[in-house]
Amino acid sequence: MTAQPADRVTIEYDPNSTVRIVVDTPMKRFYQEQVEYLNAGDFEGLVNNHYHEDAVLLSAERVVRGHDALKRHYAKYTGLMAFLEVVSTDKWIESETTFAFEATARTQWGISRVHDAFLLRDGKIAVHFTGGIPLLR
Amino acid sequence: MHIDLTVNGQARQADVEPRLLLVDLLRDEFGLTGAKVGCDTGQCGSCVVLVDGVSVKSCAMLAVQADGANITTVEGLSEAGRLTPLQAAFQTMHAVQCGFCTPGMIVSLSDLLKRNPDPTEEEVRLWLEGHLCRCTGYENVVRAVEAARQIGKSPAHILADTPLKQLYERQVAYLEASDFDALVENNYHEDAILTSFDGIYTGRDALREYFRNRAQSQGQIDFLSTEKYVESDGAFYYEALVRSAEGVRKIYNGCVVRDGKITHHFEGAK
Repeated sequence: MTAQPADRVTIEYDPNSTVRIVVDTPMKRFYQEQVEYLNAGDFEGLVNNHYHEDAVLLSAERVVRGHDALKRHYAKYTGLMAFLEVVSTDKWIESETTFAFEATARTQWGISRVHDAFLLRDGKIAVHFTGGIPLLR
Repeated sequence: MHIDLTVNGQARQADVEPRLLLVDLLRDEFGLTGAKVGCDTGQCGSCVVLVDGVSVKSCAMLAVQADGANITTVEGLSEAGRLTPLQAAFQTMHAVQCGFCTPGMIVSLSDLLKRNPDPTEEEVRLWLEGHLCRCTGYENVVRAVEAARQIGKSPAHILADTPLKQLYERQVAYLEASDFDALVENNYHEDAILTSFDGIYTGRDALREYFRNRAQSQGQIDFLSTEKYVESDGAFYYEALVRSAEGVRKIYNGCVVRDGKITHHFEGAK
């Protein structure tokens, strides 16, 4: 099998969406829901609806496994970052079972860049890799 | 006068006039022009080289005084073409403008880091008093020393005390050797999927093609440091500083592993 052509997605500004991405695939719909959960601070909904019970999240600092730990992680993560909202989705790529993005988030401390990659199983996240880029003042 | 000395690991000989300066011997006789002649009066530090491991202004030393000495110039700092952490940090932090004083600073700061691997900012600035730069204002130079310390603390190779770390170590070795056949055959499942922002690549043939194409566009990759590494059952994530033809950059990767081989690989660059 040869390499598939680059699956670049044009990111277009949508004034009605804080995600600012054209939602034209199920994976992007999933991502947009995720951002809406985050922006609303609804970690219960985020974890219960988007993650498998045994899902694992790996960041540069820690490994988080299971629903309870994930909810605590999101509460702590957003608190530490003084997270306010996702501003833009800067890079996006998806396949049938994976997607990855780089995004810009607004926090009380300034602008932060984040990157995340997901492996989905039966429509929910099984593995989540995440990292951040230092705050841009 | 006849002198014998070792320069960047090579035995060298020369017949020199007693008045010849070491910097002129290095530049004019041996063709090592990394050390610069700036002030010619021992003030600017552009000519610094290591003499028996100690930083010396080579415009303030006679060539005959180096008889029997072991000289290292900026050309001799890297090993097998690999930048030292300090050199990589200078590149990463853009600690250079016109570049004239840079070789002397790098050689001099290499001496500092050897004596004191954890210098404070004040100690770095004090050490730089022997160097004059008319462009950068030193700020990024100080940052580069801090970055070099960080790189030094997280070398490319990690203690491979788990199967996943061993897999990661093999990954690094294969990539650095550009051995993509072995990389894909030994580290990836037949139906493995690699997700990067360039595209999605499924299966070993596509992976081999991807790695080869990337090597053609970016050149060989050198891992300078593994800055972050975490693992769980069946997955690992790392952030690393790498150097390629495109320069020094940070990459991040997440891999899902089954039965000792990668099933899904995500990668990106900061």
